Amino acid sequence: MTKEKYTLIKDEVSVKVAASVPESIRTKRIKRTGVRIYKDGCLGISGYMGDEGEAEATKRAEAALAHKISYPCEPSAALARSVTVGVKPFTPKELDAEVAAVLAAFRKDFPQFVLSSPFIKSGTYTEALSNDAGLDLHSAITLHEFAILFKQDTSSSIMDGWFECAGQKYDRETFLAYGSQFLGAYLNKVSLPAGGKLPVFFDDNDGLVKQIFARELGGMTFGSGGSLFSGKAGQQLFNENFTLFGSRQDDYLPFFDAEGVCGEGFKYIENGVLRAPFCDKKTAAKFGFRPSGTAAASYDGTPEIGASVMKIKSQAKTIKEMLGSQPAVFVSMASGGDFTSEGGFGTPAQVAYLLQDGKLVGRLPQLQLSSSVNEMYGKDFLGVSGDKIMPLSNSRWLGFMLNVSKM
Amino acid sequence: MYNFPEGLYSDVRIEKVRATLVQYLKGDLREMRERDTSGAFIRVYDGKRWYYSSTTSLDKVQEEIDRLAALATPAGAIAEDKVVKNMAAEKARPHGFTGKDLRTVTLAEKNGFLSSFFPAVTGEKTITMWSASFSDTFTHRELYNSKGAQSVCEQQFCGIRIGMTFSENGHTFAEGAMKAGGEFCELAGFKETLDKVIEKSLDFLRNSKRVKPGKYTVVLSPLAAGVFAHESFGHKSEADFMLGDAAMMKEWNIGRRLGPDFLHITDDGSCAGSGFTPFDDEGTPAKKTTLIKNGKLAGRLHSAVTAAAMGELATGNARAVSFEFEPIVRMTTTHFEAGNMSKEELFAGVKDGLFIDTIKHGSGMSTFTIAPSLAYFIKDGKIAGPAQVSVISGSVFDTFGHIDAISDKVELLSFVGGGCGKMEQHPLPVGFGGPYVRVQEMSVL
Repeated sequence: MTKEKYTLIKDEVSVKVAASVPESIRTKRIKRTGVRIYKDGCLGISGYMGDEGEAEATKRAEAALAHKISYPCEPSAALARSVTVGVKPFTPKELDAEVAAVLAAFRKDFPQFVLSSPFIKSGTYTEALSNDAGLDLHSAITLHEFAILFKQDTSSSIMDGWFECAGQKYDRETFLAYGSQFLGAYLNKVSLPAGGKLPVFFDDNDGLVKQIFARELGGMTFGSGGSLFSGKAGQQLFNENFTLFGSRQDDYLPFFDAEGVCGEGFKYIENGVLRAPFCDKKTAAKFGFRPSGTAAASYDGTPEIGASVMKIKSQAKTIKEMLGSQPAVFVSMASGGDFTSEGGFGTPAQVAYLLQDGKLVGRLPQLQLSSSVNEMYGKDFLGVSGDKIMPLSNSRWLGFMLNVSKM
Repeated sequence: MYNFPEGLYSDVRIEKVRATLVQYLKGDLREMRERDTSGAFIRVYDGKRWYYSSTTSLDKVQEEIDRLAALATPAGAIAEDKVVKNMAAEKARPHGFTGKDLRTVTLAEKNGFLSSFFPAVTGEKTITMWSASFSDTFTHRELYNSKGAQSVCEQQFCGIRIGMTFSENGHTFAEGAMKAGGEFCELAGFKETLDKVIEKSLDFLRNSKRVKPGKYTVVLSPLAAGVFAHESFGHKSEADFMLGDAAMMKEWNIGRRLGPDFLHITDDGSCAGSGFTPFDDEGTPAKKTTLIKNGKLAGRLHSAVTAAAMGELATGNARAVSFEFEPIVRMTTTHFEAGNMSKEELFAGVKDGLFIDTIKHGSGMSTFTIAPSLAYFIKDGKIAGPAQVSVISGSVFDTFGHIDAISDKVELLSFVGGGCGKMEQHPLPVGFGGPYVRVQEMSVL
């Protein structure tokens, strides 16, 4: 029998903004702990919140073994590592003052906008996984998330656009410069370049254009034959410049997954060749795949397949070098799009900008974008830039040639 | 119960939840748990700024009140503040749930009920992947504020869901069957729902054709119409989006015509189902709010804060997803009311269009989008085969002007395993549904 503890601690302060001023300050300290008991190929789990309750949770976890939830894998063992990243979080007073200063600057330079934010957050997020088989993993990540929604004061929309910086560092001047680029470009209405099929760029962390892989590369679906890509491992399905891999670091996640697997750099697609689906240990064992280090679990839940850490390998070229003098579209907000069951892609782009020489230079009309997974990641794949969209975050420019029309 | 500081408005929301989850993946048991959680959300208001804290230490609530109060600046006349005036002040009668207590139904019974549907799935060879879950929640909420209000509310909800991926000849299609209700016995009849979904999905898998992008007359099912009402209009009717926004207030001028006379939309927290909210998280009782009446704007959704700012009454729509968050303006059960013709007449009026039966997801701002799952071509008023559609979309207010028919029966639906997202709070249980709605000139991809 092996006993394991999985602890999640959220220690966070956030400021909410309404009508261009801070509206509220919230502090949060939530600790959740799960106790897992591995015995005879089965797993029993229970959990508790706060600091007290381990003994009772352990009893409940032992009793839960009677449910016979199978776990035909060994728990991770014999690895001790602790990683702390990021500088210290803001205190409530510091964050309140910082938000006030940022808003004052934007109000001065862009009085024609009303600004709001559901959350400007700073916090430390701790995860620990340890067991009596010698596993002792600990991660503490401090993150600052500054998200600003904006709308022109003459607009009757809920919001006209947004910009965000999420990262381990924060610098006011850098954030102001980044936001000013969006606000300035938004004020300059421009026409859609002619052509029908245009270079279209997204933030490479935008889940919309990668959701087809999150959906179709799940190990159970893939292994069961229910995926568009089932049975195609080893085949060249996509552009040779397209490599899809797992990176928890780039997503500001702990270096280990919910099973203690460290899968940084795990390749799903390499140079266009389908390599492997994403799997937890149990799914991997069932089909003979490798665990991808992406298992997810609630604090008191069984680890299961998770797919939130897919990155596309970037190229050496900057966005400027990728485009030369050619104008392109940058999609800042595309809500509601999807891939069909056959891989067809369609989405409205509610907020899009004209991208020229690596800069946002004007606001495009609302657009309709369409393509298919085979084309987007095949002949129409432009790649991911080497340079970041903004220096404080991990986002890069991800481009495709897409069919573009005005909505 | 608590010592609320002078010169400030304060409230405390205590939440205790028992949640059950039984989950299978392709017949393999993955979860079987009962989870008990408890926590508190504390708010302090000084007339200018709100100070919040969420904690799992129920024995330290008073400390949190005092800590937040130290951050605030007490105001002598806080009782005269119009936001504070809008807050509840009464000791409300406790609100209990109806029917058999879900906590008395054993895990074995819940598991047995869920497992009884597996043969229908495993018997269909094209289903290559499937998941099944039973979930329920029993929620006990208490609210105390510095005006003397106290309320206790208990609610319960349960549901069953089976998700399936169908595969044949290199084609795949994913769809799910679901049933939910306030009592365990309300899940009866799920087998018929499941069989119907499997039958429709097989037809879609084998016969669907990609739609040619363009403008179509679209008929929305009660499910799709509910999402449309929620996404296209419901979010814009949430008054927190209007605060301090002259342009929005101008657009949201009560009495403004948006659509035909037979167009009515309401939000009602007293409707049984997943949007049921007898008291909101500020203690305001549920009410039916008419948002559109006879095609004209008629109302909006409020918390005590937004109602005070606009000189209107709170509508019982201040909701939080859990004790970790502050209440914000949210919908409950939002739907079109019954319209001007029968379902048959509504379909008969479509020469060349699409019927959206089920959906994968929807979203809405100035432009709304719905990603259909099961969709069909309509030719000369008849269903003419399944259609693959990526997304339908349109401008919110323009689309209301393009509604030309609404059927005369309302079907309200409840859900488990998902809900509405707003800002950082997701998923909040809400109700959908309505009649069939016909829209001209809908953009289809």
